Amino acid sequence: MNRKHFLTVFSTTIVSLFLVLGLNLATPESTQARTNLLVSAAASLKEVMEEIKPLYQKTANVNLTYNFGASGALLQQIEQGAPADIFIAAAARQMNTLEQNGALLSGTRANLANNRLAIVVSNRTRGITSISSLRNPEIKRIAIGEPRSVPAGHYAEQVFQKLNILNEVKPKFVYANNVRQVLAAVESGNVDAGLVYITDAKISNNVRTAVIVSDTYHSQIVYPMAVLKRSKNAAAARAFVKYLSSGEARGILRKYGFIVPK
Amino acid sequence: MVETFTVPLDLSPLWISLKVAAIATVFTFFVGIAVAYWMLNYRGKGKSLLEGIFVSPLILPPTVVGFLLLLFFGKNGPAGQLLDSIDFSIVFTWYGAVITATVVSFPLMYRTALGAFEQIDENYLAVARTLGASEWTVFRRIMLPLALPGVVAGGVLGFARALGEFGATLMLAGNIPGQTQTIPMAIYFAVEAGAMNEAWFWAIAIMLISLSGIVAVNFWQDQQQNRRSKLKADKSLSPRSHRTAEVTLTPITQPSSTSGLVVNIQKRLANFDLDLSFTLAKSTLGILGGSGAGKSMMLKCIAGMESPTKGQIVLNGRVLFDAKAGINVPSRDRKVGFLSF
Repeated sequence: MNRKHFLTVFSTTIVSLFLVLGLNLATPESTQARTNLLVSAAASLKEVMEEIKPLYQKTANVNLTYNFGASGALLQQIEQGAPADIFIAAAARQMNTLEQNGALLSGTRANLANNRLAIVVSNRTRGITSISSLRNPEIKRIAIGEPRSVPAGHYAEQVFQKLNILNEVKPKFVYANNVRQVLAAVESGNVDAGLVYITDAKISNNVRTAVIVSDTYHSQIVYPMAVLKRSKNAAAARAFVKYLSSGEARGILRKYGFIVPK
Repeated sequence: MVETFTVPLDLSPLWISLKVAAIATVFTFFVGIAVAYWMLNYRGKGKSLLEGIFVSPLILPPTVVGFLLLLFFGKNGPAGQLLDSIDFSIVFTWYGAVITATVVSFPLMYRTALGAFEQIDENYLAVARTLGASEWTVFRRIMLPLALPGVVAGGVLGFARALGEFGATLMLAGNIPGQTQTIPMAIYFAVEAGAMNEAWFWAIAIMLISLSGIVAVNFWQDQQQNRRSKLKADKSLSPRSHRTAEVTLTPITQPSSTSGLVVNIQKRLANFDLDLSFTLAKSTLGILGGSGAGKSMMLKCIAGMESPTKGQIVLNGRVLFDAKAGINVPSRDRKVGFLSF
C-alpha cells in the first residue's frame, strides 16, 4: 500500500470515528438530564425487569440500568463499593448481610416476589419423575448454582440435604455462576438435569420441567429489595422500589410466573 | 475486618491445575514445535491466514474460544456427537480443561518456537546438508539445540498460560470441585462467595507457581547465553548487495574429461542476474570479486543450497543439476563441502 493511499484510508477512518462518537454524544441531550438508577438484580429477574424498564421510564424521569448476576456476586460488588442504588436479591441471606452492615436505607426493604424451584431436563432426558430419580445412574451430570454465591444453588442443596441424598448426587454436580447458566447447560444438552426457578424454566423452549420441587424442602424463596444507603438518588430509588410493588409491576411479575401477593 | 489466614482444606484445585497445565504443555510443546518447523518452510498459499489462525487463541477473547470449543465438543457439535456414540463426553470433564489449556497455550509455544527457528543462521543448516545430514538430523542436531532457549521459554510461557486459563475452561469443563475446578476457578467462585481468604490463598499460590517458573527459565537462559558467548567465534557475513550486476566468468577451456567440474548455469534473482560458465579440471580455483558479485551464490549453487534457474552442473561426470532433465541432487548427496565465514 502506498503512502498516499494509506493516509486516505487512515483519515477517512478517523473522520468516521469522530462522526459516530459525535452522534452518540448528541443523543442523550434529548433525554433532558434524567436521573440514573443502577439496579443490581438477581439473574432470574432479567426478563421481567427488562419488560418493566420501558414502562417505568415512560412515566418517571429516570434512566434504569441493570446489573444482573448471582445474588452473592452482586453482594460482593456492593460491599466492595459498586455504585448501585437498588439491590434485589434472590434470597434473604444476602440482603440480611447488607442490613446487618447498615448498608440499607432504613425502611426501604420490601419483598418483591416469591418463587419456586423446579428440576428441568434436556429434551433427551427421560425418566425423571421425582427428585430422587436424579440418583439414577443414567443421570450423569446435574447443574446447580454455586451454593455459596447463587441462591438457586443454595436452595437446591437444601432440598438434597432434606431428602438425605446429597452425598449420592453431589459427584454429579456442575456448579454454575448464576441460575441462567444452569438453564443454559440444560438447554445445550451438556448436562442431563438442572435445578432452576420455575420462572427460568418458563422462558426456555428447549427444556422440560420434570418436577416442581415442594417448597417444604427448602427455605422460602423470596426476592427482597431495598435502596442502598450509598445511593445518591435515594428519592428516585425509593420511587422505583415503590413502583415494583404496584399492581402494574406485579401483573408483569405474575405473567412470568413469579408469586406475588394478591 | 481481620481474619486469620487459613489454608483451605481442599487442595484439589492445585493438583487439578498442575495436572491439566502439565498435560496441556506436553501437547502444546510437541505440536507447537512441529507446526513452527512446518510453517518455517511453508511457502504455499494462505500463509498469513494460517499464521493468523494459529495465533488466534492468543488474541481472541477466552469466551470466544470457549464458545467455539463448546459448540464443537458439545452434545450437538460434530465432535460431541461422534464421542457420544461411544458414550464419551468432553464437556464438563477434566479432558475439556486439558483441551482448552492446550488451545490457549499453543500460540505462545508456536510463536516462540518459530521466532527461535527464524533466528538460526541458514548457513549452519546448509553446511550440515552439504556434509550429508538428512533433514531430520539437521533438525535434531542443529536447529533444536540452537533454538533450545527459545523453545524452552515457549514451553514455560505456555505452561503459565495453561495454568492461568479461566474463561474458556469454565465454559467447556465447567466448575466441578475435585474434578475440573482449577485454581483460577476456585479464585473466581471464592470472590463471588465473599470468601476473601480463600481467594487470597489461591491468588498467591498461582502467582508463586507462574513467577517461579518464568524466573527459573530466565535464569537458565542467562546461563546458556553466557556459555554460548564464550564458545562462539566472532562470525560476520558479507552483507548482501542490492546492486544490479551481471557476472560472466570467462570460460577456462580445458580438454573435456570426466574428472573435473563443469558449470554452466544462469540464476535469475530479484535484482541480480548470474550467468556462469566454466570448466575446471583437477586444480584449485580462486575467485575474486567485489561484494555482491555472485561468488557465494555460485558456490551455493554448486553445493546445492540454491538452485539455478537454467543450466547444468556436472562434477566428475556426475550430473548434480540439470534444469532441462529436472535433476537436482540434494546437498547431502552431492559430496560437496561448504564452509561459510
